[in-house]
Amino acid sequence: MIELTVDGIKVLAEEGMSLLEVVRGAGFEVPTLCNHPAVEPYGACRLCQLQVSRGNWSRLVASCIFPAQDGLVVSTRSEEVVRARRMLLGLLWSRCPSSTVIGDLARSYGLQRPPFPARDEACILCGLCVRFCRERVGAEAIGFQGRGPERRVGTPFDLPSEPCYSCRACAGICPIGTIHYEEVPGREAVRWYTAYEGDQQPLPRARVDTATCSGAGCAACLTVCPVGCIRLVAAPEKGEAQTVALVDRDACVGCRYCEKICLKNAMQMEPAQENPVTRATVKESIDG
Amino acid sequence: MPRLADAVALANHRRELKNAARHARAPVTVCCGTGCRAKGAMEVFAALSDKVGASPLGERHEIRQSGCRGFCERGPMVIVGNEELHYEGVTPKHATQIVQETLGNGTVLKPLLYRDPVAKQMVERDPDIPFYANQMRLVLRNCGRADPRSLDDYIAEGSYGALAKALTTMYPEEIIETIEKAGLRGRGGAGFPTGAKWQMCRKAPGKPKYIICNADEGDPGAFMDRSVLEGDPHSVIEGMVIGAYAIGASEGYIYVRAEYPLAVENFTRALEQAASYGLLGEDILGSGFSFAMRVQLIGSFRQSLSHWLGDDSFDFNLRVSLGGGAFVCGEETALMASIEGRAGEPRPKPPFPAQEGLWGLPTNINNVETWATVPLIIERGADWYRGIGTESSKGTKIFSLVGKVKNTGLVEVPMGTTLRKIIFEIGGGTLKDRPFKAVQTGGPSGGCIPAEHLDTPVDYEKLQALGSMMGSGGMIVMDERTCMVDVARYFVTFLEGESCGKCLPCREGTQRIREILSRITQGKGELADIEQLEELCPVIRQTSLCGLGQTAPNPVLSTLRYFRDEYMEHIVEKRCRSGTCKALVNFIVLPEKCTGCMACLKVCPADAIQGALKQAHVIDPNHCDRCGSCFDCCRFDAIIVQ
Repeated sequence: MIELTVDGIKVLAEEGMSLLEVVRGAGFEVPTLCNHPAVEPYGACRLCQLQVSRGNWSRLVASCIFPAQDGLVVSTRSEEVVRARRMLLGLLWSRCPSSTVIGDLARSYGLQRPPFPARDEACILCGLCVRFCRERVGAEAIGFQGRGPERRVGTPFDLPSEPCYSCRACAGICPIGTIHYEEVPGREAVRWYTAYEGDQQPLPRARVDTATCSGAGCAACLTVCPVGCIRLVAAPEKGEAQTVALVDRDACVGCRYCEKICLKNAMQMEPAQENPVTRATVKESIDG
Repeated sequence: MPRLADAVALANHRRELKNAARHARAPVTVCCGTGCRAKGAMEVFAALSDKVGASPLGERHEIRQSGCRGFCERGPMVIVGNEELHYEGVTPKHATQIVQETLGNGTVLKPLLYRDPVAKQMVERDPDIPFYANQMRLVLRNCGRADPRSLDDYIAEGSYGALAKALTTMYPEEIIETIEKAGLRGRGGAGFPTGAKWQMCRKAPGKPKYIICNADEGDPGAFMDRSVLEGDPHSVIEGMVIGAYAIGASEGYIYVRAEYPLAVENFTRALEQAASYGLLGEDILGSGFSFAMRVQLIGSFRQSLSHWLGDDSFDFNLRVSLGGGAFVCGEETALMASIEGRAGEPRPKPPFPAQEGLWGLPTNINNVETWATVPLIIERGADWYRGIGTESSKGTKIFSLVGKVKNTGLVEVPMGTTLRKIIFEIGGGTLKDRPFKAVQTGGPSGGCIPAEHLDTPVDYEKLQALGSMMGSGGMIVMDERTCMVDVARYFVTFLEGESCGKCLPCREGTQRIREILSRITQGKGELADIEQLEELCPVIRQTSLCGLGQTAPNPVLSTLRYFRDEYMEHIVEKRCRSGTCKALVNFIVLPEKCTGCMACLKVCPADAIQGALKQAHVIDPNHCDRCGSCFDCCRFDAIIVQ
């Protein structure tokens, strides 16, 4: 166990945890867009800046990729942290002025309007969709193209991607809900593009048919769920000590892993009520 | 040549070569580095070989090739005989003259000599030229002397002596201690202590360990790594084998830009030769230490390069990897990703390469110049090396002196040499003796240092304190015709395009800086722009993922620090005093000074100048392209920038 001081409060943590995990676990609010517990930390959006210091040494770090260390003094809302986040949000907002997620976040840091000439991009290049597709789905159906200002996310040659089996988890995990798809007739793949939120179709979310689910007797869905949004709950109506699976529909990204593995066809995909999920809700629901 | 069985065999071979050299023919050395080749050095070499071979002089003289001599401005260069006469700007037409008059009669060809712009006199001997005389060429000692195609040349000069010493008389820990004590710091830019880096890698668990030579030299105007690889590949190989022995590594890679074909060719040939002598591969010099190497080509250049590399796998384990042409691949984690075949994008550190590097195993990465310095320290000792340089920075550093300076070339000086000495004594001052304005050091993400700091002794800390950095050692001299806002815009545009795009502040931030600077140079700037730059730059520096982004605001911050008045002129007065920013410039002719020589009229590409002989000319602003050619060619200062 290691001990850190976060905004003056002592916090205990396991060695090997990232600073972000520790600080969020202790109940502090840290904004992120590129971080998700289901995939490896990446450090692209840089919004999770925290000020760390030890003695006279002090600096800003991207907390998602900074290992928690014993004795570290952390400040989550120092003047420097707020200044850096405000500028980063200003850059993001100017890139994607139509995003309500970013707009709300930017306003909460005191910005009134995008500080630079607006560019009207739909994607913030956080890489969550690319990483989820590679690390969790294993399909690598989408990837980054280009370098520097040319960088964007897409399918090979912008055609429906061969390995894509239209799980749509990319759209589900997108922090600003910008990924759109069209069904390709006769194929499982989707035609993939990014556009503004608003005109997005409802995304599929898993729902358990409690009548057919065998609960703890099977629990296969729990083991395959890449985001860990399924848990077992007591089902007294089915008998004593009986359980069924329950999907946290805010955290579900709709990847259909559970649907494919369920032997009883108890997992059904249904359109979600609200889109998109924000990272904060995903994190909270998983912690909860 | 059979394998050298042990250190004694190497020493014997060296003695034989030195004895043979005493009876050898006098050398006529043609510099065949990339710069001289571009100016026709190979044709000069062919013409000289032809003329000498056909005459009885061939018995007394030998025409040789060498690697880059560093004085690229003056190429092609020929160094004649044991007295080392320096001929420059040689063309194949001069071959007959050189052979007949200098080799035959012993007369010196005056028109081919170097004329010193400071003392205004001819210099005959190469070592007497101030450009060389004021340098301390240690790492470059063999460049321009030995023939890169012949390992024997280097052995005769003393190469691989340090390797024999290290393998036969030193423990690995002892080598690391020596490097630590010598105070060698990484020459790639960051200046991290090399010994400490080696120590970390040696202690890291995991096998095999790798060492990498970073030859992805991408700074505009910098070419010291290329020259060392071309002119002295063996010092790099020797340094790497010593490093491998000290760290406990068994395999090595070199990551070279594909744009350096001659360096790749010379280095690959050197690898093969070293392996055939047993200086690389299994059981090096009978010590039992093996360091295997393999030449492996990646990328689309494989086909075009295979003709001089033959099969793509050799049986020795230093691999040559050709870069995909990305500046960011000089960053160590991006470089390793590129060798592994992934996109060259930096990843967060820790874990450091010494802990988890190439293929997840402990890896030590050093720059070309750092590796080439290692044999010197092992051979002559840490105390000797500590004696050179300043308190915090030891040894010598190679700078590539370019821009508006008379003697363009590679300059190796001890740390602590002043900028003034480098630019005015070695470099010979600014072109046309125009007033000096600034020197840009440290590559694209370095900073501009103004005239009042010319007497600063150059070392890692001093340059940083001035808002610039050592970088890999680029030095771009600027005179009054350079606009500092435009310079900042140029470097930021370079960095914007070379950013990998992974992290937000570097990708978006450099784009926004470029937009703001472009506005200012177009005359659309506002005072709020400067405020915005000053808010944006520190955030990019603090929050970017890798060194590229963290240093990207340097060009802006340093020019804002020293040349704020120029920014103000652009924004408030809508004027560019250097005549660079086309939207803000008008060239006009002062009729009282104009002699009507018609020189400007002839050079004007837009035919915007009217006038007749001996009558004052007029520039038509509607047709003028603002290229400044007239301004540059006028010898009477009759054209001014308004």
